[in-house]
Amino acid sequence: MAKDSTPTLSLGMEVHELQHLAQVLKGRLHLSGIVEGNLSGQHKSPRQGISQDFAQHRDYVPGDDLKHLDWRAYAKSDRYVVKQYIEETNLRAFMVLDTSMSMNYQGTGLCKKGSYAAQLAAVLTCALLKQSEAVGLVCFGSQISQYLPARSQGEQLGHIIRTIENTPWQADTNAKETLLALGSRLPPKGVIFLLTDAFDLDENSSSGYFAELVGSIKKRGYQVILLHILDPSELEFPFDELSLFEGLEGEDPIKIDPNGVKAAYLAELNAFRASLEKEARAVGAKYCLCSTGLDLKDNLLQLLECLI
Amino acid sequence: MNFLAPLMLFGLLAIAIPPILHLLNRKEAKPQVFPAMEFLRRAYRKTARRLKMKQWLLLALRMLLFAFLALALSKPMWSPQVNPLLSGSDHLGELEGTQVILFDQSYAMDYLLDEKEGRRLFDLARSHALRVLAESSGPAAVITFGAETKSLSQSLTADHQLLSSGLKELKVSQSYGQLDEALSLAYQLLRDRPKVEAKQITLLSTPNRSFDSASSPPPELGKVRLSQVDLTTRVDLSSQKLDSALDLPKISLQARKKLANHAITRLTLSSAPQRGEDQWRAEVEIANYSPEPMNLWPIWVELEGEVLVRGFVTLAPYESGMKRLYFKAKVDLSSQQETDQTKITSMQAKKGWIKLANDPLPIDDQWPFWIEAKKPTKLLALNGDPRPTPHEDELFYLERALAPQVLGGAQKVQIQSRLMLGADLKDEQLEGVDIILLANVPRPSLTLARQIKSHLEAGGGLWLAPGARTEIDTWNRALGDFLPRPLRGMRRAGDAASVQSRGVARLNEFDIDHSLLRPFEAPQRSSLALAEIEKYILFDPKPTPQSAVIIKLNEGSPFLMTRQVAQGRVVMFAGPLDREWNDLVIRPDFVPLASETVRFLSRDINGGQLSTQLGSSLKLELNGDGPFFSLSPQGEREGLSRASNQQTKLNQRDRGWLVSSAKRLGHHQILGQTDLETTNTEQSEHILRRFVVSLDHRGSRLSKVAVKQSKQENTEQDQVSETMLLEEQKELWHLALFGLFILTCLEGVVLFQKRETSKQTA
Repeated sequence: MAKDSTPTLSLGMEVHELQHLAQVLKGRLHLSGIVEGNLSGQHKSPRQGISQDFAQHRDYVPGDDLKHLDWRAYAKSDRYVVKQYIEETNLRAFMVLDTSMSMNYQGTGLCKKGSYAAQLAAVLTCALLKQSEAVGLVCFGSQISQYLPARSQGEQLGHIIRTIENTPWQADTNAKETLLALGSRLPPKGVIFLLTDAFDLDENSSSGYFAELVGSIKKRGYQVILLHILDPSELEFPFDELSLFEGLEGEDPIKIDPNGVKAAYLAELNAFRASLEKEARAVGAKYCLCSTGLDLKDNLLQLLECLI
Repeated sequence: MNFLAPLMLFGLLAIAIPPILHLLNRKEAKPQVFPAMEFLRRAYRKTARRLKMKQWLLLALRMLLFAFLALALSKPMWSPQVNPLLSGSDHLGELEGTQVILFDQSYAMDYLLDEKEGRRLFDLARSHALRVLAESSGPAAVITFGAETKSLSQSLTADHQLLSSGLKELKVSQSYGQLDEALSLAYQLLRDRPKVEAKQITLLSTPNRSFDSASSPPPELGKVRLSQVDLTTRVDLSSQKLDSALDLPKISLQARKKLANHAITRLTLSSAPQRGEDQWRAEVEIANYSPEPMNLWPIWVELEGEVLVRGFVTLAPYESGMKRLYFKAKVDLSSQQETDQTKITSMQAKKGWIKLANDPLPIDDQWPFWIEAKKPTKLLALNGDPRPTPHEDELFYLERALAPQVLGGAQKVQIQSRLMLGADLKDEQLEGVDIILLANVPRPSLTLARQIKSHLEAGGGLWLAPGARTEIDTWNRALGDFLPRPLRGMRRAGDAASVQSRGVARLNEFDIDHSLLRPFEAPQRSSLALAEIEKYILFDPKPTPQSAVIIKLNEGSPFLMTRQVAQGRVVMFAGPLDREWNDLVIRPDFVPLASETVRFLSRDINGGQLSTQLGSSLKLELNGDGPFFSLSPQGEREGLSRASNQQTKLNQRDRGWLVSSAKRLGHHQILGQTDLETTNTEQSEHILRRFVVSLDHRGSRLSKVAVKQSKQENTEQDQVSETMLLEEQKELWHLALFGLFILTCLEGVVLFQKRETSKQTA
């Protein structure tokens, strides 16, 4: 909850609703990237150790634990070999939430883009915690405003929700600087759910900008999943009266007959989406468009499809 | 380019409507918060220019739309400048070469262009001709064509003063001038000029007259320029070079306009017995040669200055239609009138006019007619088969067909019925008889034959209708000299070897050119063709002199024949006039056939209204050797000449007379002396016939626009107008409307494109 008069991001959702929605993801949120954690979980660890999954045989060397000796193989081949197993680990996931003013917009969507992104983050957190994964939170605008380290304890959900609701809107976005800075703060290896409208990523409209950003994060061993949050008004541009369009981040207003520019605007937007998706694929990241006009559950299912 | 409705050009102000509407509908921009401003700004940058262009284009299209609408409503006209004389300059400049002016004197040139100043087309034409003469330096000639075609000078002359004074004396005629004659005369005059010399023939006439492809000059004349001056376009006669002694009207600039005219183009007058005694029916054909409709245009019938009936005519532009007017007119039988020179006795008649409310050309808004009292035709019917039951009597059907209530006021027949059962007629009984009818008479005596012969020689008529009681040999012996063909005997229908069906024969071959069948437009489709003939008289196949077969049966035998005997005529039916052998008498068309037979056999040879057009000749039949005179409404006399054999029918040749050329419009009379009335001391004349002279209405059509439903459409005049289509003025309003349509489509396309693009992107 907000402690002062600064407008803050509101989740607008009860915990039981989150848990109910998290049921949709139960047992289905398989993140394909190889991540490293400090608890046993559903995800493969690059280290071999105690696990149910057989990895390979290796010749016995003195000092090896005799319990790993494969006696059946010795009986067949008269050789001492040791069984090795793929070690499983838990997931370290970070919800990176854009809290810039451009997310504080509700057109014809169900709620503000920021709230929608927060709800998505909360549901994902809930689902991952139930899978004993460690979940952290990063809120950013022009700079990183909130950082919660990844934890897999049950109370982590409450921490995350409270942090989200206490985060004020930031007047501007500086995604590049922020995300580069984030790369150095994160512990090695994990998954980043980047929930943003990504308008800042297009500021210079130079190709490969997003790929460069993801590449720097990936160097730290992180898998990036971009949840592109857009309002239906941004996707469809349903205006038809002469309007004075004003930006949310201090852009100059512009008077336009929407009927005249609609086609060109939609072309621009679609091109941007396509380039984002293309760049994401190029660097092995995932891209999922989330319209705030859709029900949250539908978007979660869509996310699952993206992750397959 | 001119405009028929120039006031509509004020509609061009309407082009201000779209920008005004645009300014009025300008809305305040609605503030709208939107996060994806960068994309919007980029889209705006890309589309702003195109969008502005499109909006300007739309605005221009809408403004043009209003402009074209105003143009279409103002009815623009375009006409090629056929004549460089009227290229719009204030004076003509020096005209080189030989000039021939064809000057129309037709009645249509009397068209009143300006009521206030009393300016007529004729004045304009004369002014223009004078101007051409003043401006030209070479030899010139003026050929006028109206009542007659003539040149004002013997040949081409450089003495333009002579031509100018001739022009000043010209007057409009009542005729329709012959342009082709005038053009031939012009070519004749130009024949002596050198081939290399420039020659120009200028036509000054109404807009409907122009040169056609047949008017092209003969090659030996070299290059001859044919041009026509449209007198309804801009004409400026303020040139100082004109003869100051000439009192010319000052003509101001005048936009081309269509000359509106209405005219009576035909009149058919007939009696209307079904409406009562002395009732007449006038079927008037009226043409509206005007771009404006005729709405409730007054028309009336005037008899001796008294209006008998009034009506109204409503016609669409360039449409002709028929108007029926019924009126009552009674004329007493005897009268006597005196002129300065002679005493004229005649049956009385009344002069009548059908008149339309006046327009700028009043002369064609009237049509003359005569209502004549007629002496009843005396028909002596010799009944050879009288019956006590009326409908079985031989003359029952004929008496009813010729009853006054059936024939109406146009014809009166007095039937005198006598039984013919052996006793001869006395000569006194035949006095004053016009027609003798032998109806199923068994045995005509030789005395009767002699009486009939003298009756025929005196110009009487003989109607023969043999039947069952007829004794063939006696008829052939007694009447052999008058019979169209000798009788062979009775034949039952179907007995002929060539016929397959038995029992009934039908009338199927008609000599439609014969005056006996004049009442029928198509006798084959009349009820005559439905008559069933069970028996008929078979005739000798060898024709007698001056006889003709008018109707034949489908079995090949003649059924109705005529013969000319001396001054008299004979008509013979191949059966009786009752229903004993056929049912012809109960067919409706028996009535006009009987009436026409009576008219044919009586001295009323021509029957009905005699009429001709101004400048045309009129053939008519008159008893006697003449001399005969035609008396015009103005009292001028003109002698009639004998018509040649080629001009009249074979059986009329002895009585054919010709009124060579009618020169005056209105009521004319034919005067002549008869043997009975000739006295030594005082010249006494009878009015033998009356006829009316009407206008040649071809001149009334002042534009080249064809008139719908007009019977004149297939005449020569129309063909001329078709060939000259290229030269006539063209209406452009439909082009303007087409432009309007294209603009609307364009706007539709622009708007549709916009919508489609939005749909696709959505």
